[in-house]
Amino acid sequence: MMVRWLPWIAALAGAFAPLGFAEAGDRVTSLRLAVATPEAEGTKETSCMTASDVGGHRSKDYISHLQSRFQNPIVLCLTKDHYASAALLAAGEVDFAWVSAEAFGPIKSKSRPIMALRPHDGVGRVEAVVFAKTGAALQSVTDLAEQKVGILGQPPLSLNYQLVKVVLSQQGGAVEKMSFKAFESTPQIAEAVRSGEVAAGAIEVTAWARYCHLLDPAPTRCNDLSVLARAYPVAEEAMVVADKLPHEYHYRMLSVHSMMHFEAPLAFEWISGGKGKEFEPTEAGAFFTGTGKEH
Amino acid sequence: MARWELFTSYLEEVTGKPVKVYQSTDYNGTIQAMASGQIDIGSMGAGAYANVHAQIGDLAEPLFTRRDSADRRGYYSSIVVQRDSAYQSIEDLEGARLAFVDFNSTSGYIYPRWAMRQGGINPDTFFGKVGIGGGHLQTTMALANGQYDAVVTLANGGDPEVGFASGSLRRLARRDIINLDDYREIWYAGPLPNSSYIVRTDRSQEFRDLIRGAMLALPYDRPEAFLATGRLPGTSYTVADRSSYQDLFDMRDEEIKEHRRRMMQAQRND
Repeated sequence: MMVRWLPWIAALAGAFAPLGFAEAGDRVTSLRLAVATPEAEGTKETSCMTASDVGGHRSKDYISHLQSRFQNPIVLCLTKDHYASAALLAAGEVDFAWVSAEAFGPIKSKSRPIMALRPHDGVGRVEAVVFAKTGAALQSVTDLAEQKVGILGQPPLSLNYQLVKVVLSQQGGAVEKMSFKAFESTPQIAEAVRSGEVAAGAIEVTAWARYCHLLDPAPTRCNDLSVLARAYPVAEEAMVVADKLPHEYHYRMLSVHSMMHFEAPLAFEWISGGKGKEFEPTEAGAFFTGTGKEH
Repeated sequence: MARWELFTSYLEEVTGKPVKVYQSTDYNGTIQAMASGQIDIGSMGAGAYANVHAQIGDLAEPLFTRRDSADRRGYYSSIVVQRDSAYQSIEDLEGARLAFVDFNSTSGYIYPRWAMRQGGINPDTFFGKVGIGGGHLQTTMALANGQYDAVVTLANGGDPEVGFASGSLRRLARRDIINLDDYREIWYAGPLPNSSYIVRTDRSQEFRDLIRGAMLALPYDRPEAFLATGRLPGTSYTVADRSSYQDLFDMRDEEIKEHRRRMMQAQRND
């Protein structure tokens, strides 16, 4: 039988250019951001500036870079803390704000997280999967207290050990009451779960997908295993965007920030404050555990 | 094309513009469509991008590529043989029949040939017969059909240590066309940079920023559309720039020089 396969090459074409993203009514006259800075700590005043009046302030490279990529004037408001930034967004005075999970609460109904900083160790916010043998008495991670949990002992430990412990904890597990056994591979963990050597396994989602052949049309390899939890770790801080802003702007802002460590390293250095190596996207629920519990 | 429907509708929603996805029947189709400006964005391997770069230089740039949960941004070339054959390593293939994929294929031609030379194997003289399969899946089928003793193809979604989730062998096995247990991978080369989405730079900066941002957000905002294109959970898109592909530009130049040298040698021999 001769079969002609199509190479997995795709190309996109469309009537994209010239780009007129949205109706004129959706256009914004300026893009306004709020960022808490150490310089503003201890002050009561919020200081807002544009590219033309930023002067020699350390944020100059950042605001200039954004200005170069948007036709709209950029307004940067420096605040004393994340709560002040969130308050500006709540009042409709800024479109974007860099906030902590705690400060996000009051603005959760009118904004969403779009990006966070990827830590210097190179592993970002990855979903973890906690699984047990189907039919076991375990219903959720809260049942894992006093139980043994299998994890991958292979590097990067930030992914295979720290991540799963964080997610177990955020999903309501009493991590301090669990014991952990490190295995060399995912198949070993799965077999240990099946044999009862450990009560559950906790691994990052790609290892789970690879082991369970989740790309198969009808995967069956893990039919005897049940997922107790599958969740991202909660973001500590993120850039949030006001819901009312047309999508065009938040995607462009994400793009410009994601490239910033390449294109404008001084701007990146200022906005990241040395807390990460690059910006990466987040899901809308990045500040939530998915258990109904806020952080 | 069904796997692209969710993806297409997402991009149409984000851009407010009609989006059309074309699947090319060979590597050169996408390369020439990109070089001539018939398409705005193309998904292609690093070797194909090197070809586009050689034709139009800065008129094309990478928008983004893939990485997995452990920040792996590459995949592997592999040599596959029948499990019941005697071949256990690439050294055993001296004089054997070997198929590469396509002259423009990164993992199926450019990179493995470079890696073989690095390892002291001249791919033009070491094997008994060298052919071109025409595509990763066709090439793998050529092994299944007995046309070759070994074929070069790709393995991705992991590495030799943790194993692979995808690649030509596994895709054919998923479709029940081959039995994975009938084959053995005896050689890997890599990692080489994952395929990336290339955009023409004569499209506006706003357009390029919008598409990059929307695509980076896809695994988070519309995971079902991302997974429908065959991506493994936990993988995501990350930004890339031209400098990430310089090695491939150099390898392609080297391959072309080597090809010309062989042609001239053949002409002299005639």
